Amino acid sequence: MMYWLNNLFGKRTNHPDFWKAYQEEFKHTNNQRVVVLDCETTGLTPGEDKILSIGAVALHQNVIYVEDHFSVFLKQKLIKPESIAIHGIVKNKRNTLTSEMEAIKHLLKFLGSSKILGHHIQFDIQMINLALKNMELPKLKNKVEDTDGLYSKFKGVHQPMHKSLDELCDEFNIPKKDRHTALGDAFLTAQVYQRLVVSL
Amino acid sequence: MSSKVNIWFKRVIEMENVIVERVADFLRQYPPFQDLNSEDLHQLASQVRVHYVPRRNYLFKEGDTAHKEFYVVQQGAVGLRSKQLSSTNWIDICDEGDILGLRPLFADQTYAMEAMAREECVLYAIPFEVFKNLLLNNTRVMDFLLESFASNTRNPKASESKGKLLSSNYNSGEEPSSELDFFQQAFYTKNPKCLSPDESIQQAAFVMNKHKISSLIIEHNKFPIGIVTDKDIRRWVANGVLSSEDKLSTIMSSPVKCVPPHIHLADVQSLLLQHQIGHLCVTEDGTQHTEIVGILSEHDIVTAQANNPVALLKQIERVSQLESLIRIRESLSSLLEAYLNTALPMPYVMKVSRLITQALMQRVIELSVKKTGTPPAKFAWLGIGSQGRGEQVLLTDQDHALVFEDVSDEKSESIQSYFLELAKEVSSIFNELGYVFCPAEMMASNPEYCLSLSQWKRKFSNWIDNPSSKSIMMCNIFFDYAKVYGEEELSKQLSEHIFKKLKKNQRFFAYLGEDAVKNPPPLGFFRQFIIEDDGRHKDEFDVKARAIQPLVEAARVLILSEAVEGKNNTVERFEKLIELEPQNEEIYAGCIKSFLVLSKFRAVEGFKQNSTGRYLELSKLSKSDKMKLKRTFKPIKDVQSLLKNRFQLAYFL
Repeated sequence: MMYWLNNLFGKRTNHPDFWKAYQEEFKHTNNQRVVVLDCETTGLTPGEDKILSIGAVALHQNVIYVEDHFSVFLKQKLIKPESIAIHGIVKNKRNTLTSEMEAIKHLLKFLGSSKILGHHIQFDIQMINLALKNMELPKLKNKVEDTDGLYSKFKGVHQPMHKSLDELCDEFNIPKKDRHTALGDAFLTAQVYQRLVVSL
Repeated sequence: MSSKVNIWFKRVIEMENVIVERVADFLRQYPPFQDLNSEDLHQLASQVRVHYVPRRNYLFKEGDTAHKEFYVVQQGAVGLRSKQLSSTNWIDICDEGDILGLRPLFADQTYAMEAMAREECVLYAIPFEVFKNLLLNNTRVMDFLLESFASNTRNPKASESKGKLLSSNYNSGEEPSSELDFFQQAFYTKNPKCLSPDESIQQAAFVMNKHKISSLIIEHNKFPIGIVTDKDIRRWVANGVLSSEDKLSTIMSSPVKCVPPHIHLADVQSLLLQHQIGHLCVTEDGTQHTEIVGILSEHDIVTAQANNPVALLKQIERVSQLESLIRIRESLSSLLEAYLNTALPMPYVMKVSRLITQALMQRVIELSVKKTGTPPAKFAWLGIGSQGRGEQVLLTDQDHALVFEDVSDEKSESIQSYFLELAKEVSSIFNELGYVFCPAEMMASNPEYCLSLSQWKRKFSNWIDNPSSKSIMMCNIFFDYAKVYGEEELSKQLSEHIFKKLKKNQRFFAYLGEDAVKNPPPLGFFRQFIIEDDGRHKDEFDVKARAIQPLVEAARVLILSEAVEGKNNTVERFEKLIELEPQNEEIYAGCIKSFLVLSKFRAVEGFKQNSTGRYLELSKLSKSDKMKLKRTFKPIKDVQSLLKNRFQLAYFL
């Protein structure tokens, strides 16, 4: 409630600096940069499951810039064994793990005002927004686009096609490597996006 | 550093950037990246940009400003072509692992070719900035790139394509497009130092010294009016005729040869060769009437390519020993052979061959004159046949003639004997160089072809007025003469006489036309080969007599009947004919193409067999080469029917 009122009256004093900096970015949005993002999570139930890692890579005018990437692995309180099997992320790699708060803080900096793109991206956005909520912060402000939606448009179909990333990669002749790592999936999604954009 | 930390560090990279890992995995399969250590490779891979180019889209076009990155084809194929060279043919196709767009690494320039995705492509773009840093510490990588960049005759990989006639020379992935750099544009020095013609020589010397440059453009209102080089200053001041206080206008060379900014390296080389100059002024539109943009020096080009036509030409100027001349002639052969093994277009190969051969011959005659003593009369040395047409790529027979000015009758004999002696000397050197003596003795050392101007005029008059099928066959190559050395005026006067005689001489053209169609094209090539039945060349195809010669002869009779002077080259003749007879463009353009393809077949075969390349062994041709060969015959048939109609040859045949 307090949070809502603050927003209503434009009082943001209780928001941390990194959020203010993030908000500042939207004053002059950069349309040339698109961030392709993927989260690996402990499961598919927002609110119950947790983010394990976030990977993202940016496109500038439809060219993937490898150097402009983002990758974090989050410290976990509890891990569902079944997701470890898929993602291969194990809890005790202390040196490479970041707290959720730190991860989100860095992510906002990386995102800036760029459009966020991903495959079935609403789930990822929901997971990140939940993390933001835990930090008593508002939702992401970025524009969001889904490769699945773009694909439907590309096919001239008005309903979502619900194709998996694997299926899209096969269709576009993109070799599937590093599936189920956040950064690897982001890279594959970025490549799918490149092909969809030129056709639309 | 302990190994534990190393392992940890490596793991972080692996964990954190699978993209870099993928890119590096790809790059390390191909040169020059395979020579990089793992750390450098990862560093490079982390800076890669991934482009997706749909089929038929352009990566860059001719004239585009050079990108800040070069490309490695990760998936798909990129075709390169140049509108100026050929609008339809791909000059090169780059596929997986091939590098393209390397030129800006060596010189800021615009692209002189277009690159189009022949299939959908994924390209890894590597920023030059990142790469340059790596180059400093990786000499092998640098060497590889330099080797690829310079058009090097000693590229060991170039010989791999030997034995394939005209087969597409696509890059194997081991060598990036070295030959292509020839078509890339010449890079010039921007904003060159300029002075007004009223400045003093001293001022010029000061500026040149200060900026460590060897030339200055003399400008008036930003337009170039002349050029002064340090050579000019040295020569004029040292002569003591002028003082350093004099104005530059007194010593400048004027006008200055100008070129447009987008000029190909190959064209620059030709211009420098042709005009025997060391500098070109770059202006907005290539004329003296627009603003100065830059200066292009021979040095720029020579440094870009160590073993190149310009360097050979320089050497020719300097040498006087027979051994050195032989060595240069051998270098020319290896240069041409290397060119033929690449996708370099035939007109350029022939041009280089023509210019260097000519310079070499000039030098031989110059040296022979020195040896034989001062000529008692003015004279001109004429190249005839393929030499006169400038179409030699291989070492052929020598064909030449000599004309000297008219002298009084009593002197005539002694003067002729001087020139015969000179011709014998020249001819024997040519022979040493590999141009064997002409079996038909069509040489200036033969008293028949070492004549005064009047005697030559009489000879041509006789050929033209009293033609016979037999005499035409013998004399026609004399109609392709070009001055190699000596007095331009003599050869000009002879030409004037010939064209006057030819005018409206239907009978002579009828004979010349008849000679040109005597060898019909072998259209039944595949059903029944028209091959030579003479024992030695059994099962071989005489590409010279049956395909090249008919085109040469057609071009000759047509251009002579159009009374066009000064066009000796078969390709140039057909080009001129297209201009004069646009209605026949298709036929003539077909002839040019055939002529070039056939010349290449012959040249490649000649280098392979170390022969004149005249006879092709049909059984050794690949299917695609046979198809190519066959396609050249149609224009021969077309142009021969045109000749038959034009010169009413039906009753002759």
